Amino acid sequence: MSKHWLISGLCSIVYLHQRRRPIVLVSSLIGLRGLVPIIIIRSDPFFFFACRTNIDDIDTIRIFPGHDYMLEMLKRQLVEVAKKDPSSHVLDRDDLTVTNSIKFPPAFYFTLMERLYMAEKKRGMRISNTPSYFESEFTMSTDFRRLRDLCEHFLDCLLDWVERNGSVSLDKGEGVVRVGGGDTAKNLGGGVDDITLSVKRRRVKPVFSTIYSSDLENLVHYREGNEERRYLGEEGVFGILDKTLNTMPDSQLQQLQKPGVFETDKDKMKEQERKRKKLYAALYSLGLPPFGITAGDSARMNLAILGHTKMMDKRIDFSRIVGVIERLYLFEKFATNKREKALKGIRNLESEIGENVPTAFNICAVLLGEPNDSGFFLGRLCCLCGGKKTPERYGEVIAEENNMEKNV
Amino acid sequence: MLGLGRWGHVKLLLWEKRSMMVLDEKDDSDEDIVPPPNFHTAITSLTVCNEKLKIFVIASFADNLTYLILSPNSGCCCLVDPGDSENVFFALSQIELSIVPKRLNLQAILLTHKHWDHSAGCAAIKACFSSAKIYCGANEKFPGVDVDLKHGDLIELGEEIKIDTVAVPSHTRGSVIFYLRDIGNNDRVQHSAMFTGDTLFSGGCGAPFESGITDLVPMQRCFVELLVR
Repeated sequence: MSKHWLISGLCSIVYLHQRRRPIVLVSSLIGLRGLVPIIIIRSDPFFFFACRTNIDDIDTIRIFPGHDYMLEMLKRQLVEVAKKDPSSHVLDRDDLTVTNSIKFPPAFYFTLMERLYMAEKKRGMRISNTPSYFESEFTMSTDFRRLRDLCEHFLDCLLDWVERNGSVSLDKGEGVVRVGGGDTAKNLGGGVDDITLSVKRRRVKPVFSTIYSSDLENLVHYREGNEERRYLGEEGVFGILDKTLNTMPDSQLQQLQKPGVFETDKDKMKEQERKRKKLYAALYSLGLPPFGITAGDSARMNLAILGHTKMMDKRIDFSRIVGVIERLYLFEKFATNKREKALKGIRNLESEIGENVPTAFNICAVLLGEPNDSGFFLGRLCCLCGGKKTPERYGEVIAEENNMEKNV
Repeated sequence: MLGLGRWGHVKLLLWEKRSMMVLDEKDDSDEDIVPPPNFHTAITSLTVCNEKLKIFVIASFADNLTYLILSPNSGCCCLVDPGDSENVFFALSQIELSIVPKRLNLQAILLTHKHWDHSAGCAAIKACFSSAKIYCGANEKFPGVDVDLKHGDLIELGEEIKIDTVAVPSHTRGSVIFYLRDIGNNDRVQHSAMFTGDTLFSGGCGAPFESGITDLVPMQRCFVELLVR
């Protein structure tokens, strides 16, 4: 009996609920023959807050959608995640509960399953699942989760930029080993110009990989057995590396001995490219107001007229970005000083851009430390507007488009 | 250890009970009507705006939802997205008979967008309620529309129903979302309900059928617009 109480007690989710503060979840797993492990999970405060906070406490709005798709949407979320899981072969409900328990944050997962259960029950009783609450959609809707992800990416980029104060630039050079961005790089000479190494010091992702010595030897034999041997000379790859290490200053050697993730320039470029694209997506999603498919549409609906400009040239509104971050409670998980740092960073970003239009391209250039050259020369040769970005009067725009407009 | 486990278990049960009580209090105002065979769900109602307005959920077609916003005091009401006129007529008769024993004064038909499953019943309803005006987004060019809506327009029906319009051009060129204003808070505009059409569903969103081909994130921008309001 006491064992039963112990197990049931540990199975309970014990939560320490402080209003809008991080939550600690303690849960446990039970094997077939008793208690197996105890897992202590620090849940994301956002998810727990949005899932479990009493909805009376927050200023929320009820949503009345045009279709009763709640059950289908929730099922789809589970099935799509399960499809991505290589270990799941059968999409039965029991399998879903097992495989997806790993994918979602615990608080969100429990809430999702609860809502799915309730939605199915209501559907069976022919009761509508509407209305739902707007705040709850922040976790239940994949699109709002995507928005949150983009917000976090923007904040990451911003705080990175604040940390390095916009002074770090990534110099690329052939045959150069850069350690921690130091300025005393060593030229290795010809032959290994594509093995440029760098130490990533600020943010070390928990990535582990194993390289076997036999693989390395095979690689060396392969390289030395080919034409590249003549570039390497008699000393070979290891000889060059030894020579480099021997001539390297102590400060750089100490940097090398620090734990870090080594990556090639190619990987770094890919990561940088991904980072840039995601930042563009974040700025387009968060910083631009809705606008019509044509300027005439925007004019008729009283929306912002952004003209016949490329997405790159459209003005980003920082107040919208801050508004979304506040609304999604992303600042809640920050310490006060970090929050101030982020807000100050946005102000600094505005002043850094200065008199230029704060477009996505300009902001990316500042945050990621890249040269400010849009390269969109062809975009400025727009035959429709002739470079006129902001039409002065709505009537002119509508008159311009009367002939070319088609109702899709 | 035993005490801790027992404490956690009891605490969880109490919390669940408390949260269920909160939900029950919220749902006290719901009143269900037994649905006819062609209704996929029952007609339900919800009291909002300091208990001055009622919103009725009326099923239509396979999974569409039509809403009736009603002021029980005055009988003033409006319909949102009446796709199936037969179901709407049945629901209106039931509401008149059993829930609000007062002649309904339908003043407006609000369309979130032009698609037939949201607007097919307009003509038949307008034929019966000639005083009702049809409101639709200015870009939709919907036949028979009386008022073209723009972003930020305020629709006032009687003294109690006030609805803000937010343009969300993505699902269609003239898609709009209707915000129902709270009554009695004159200092600050607050909203209690949002009629999203096919732009936002519970747990997902609609497809951006009519957005620019170079625009990759039209729906997300619309959601941002909802967030920053």
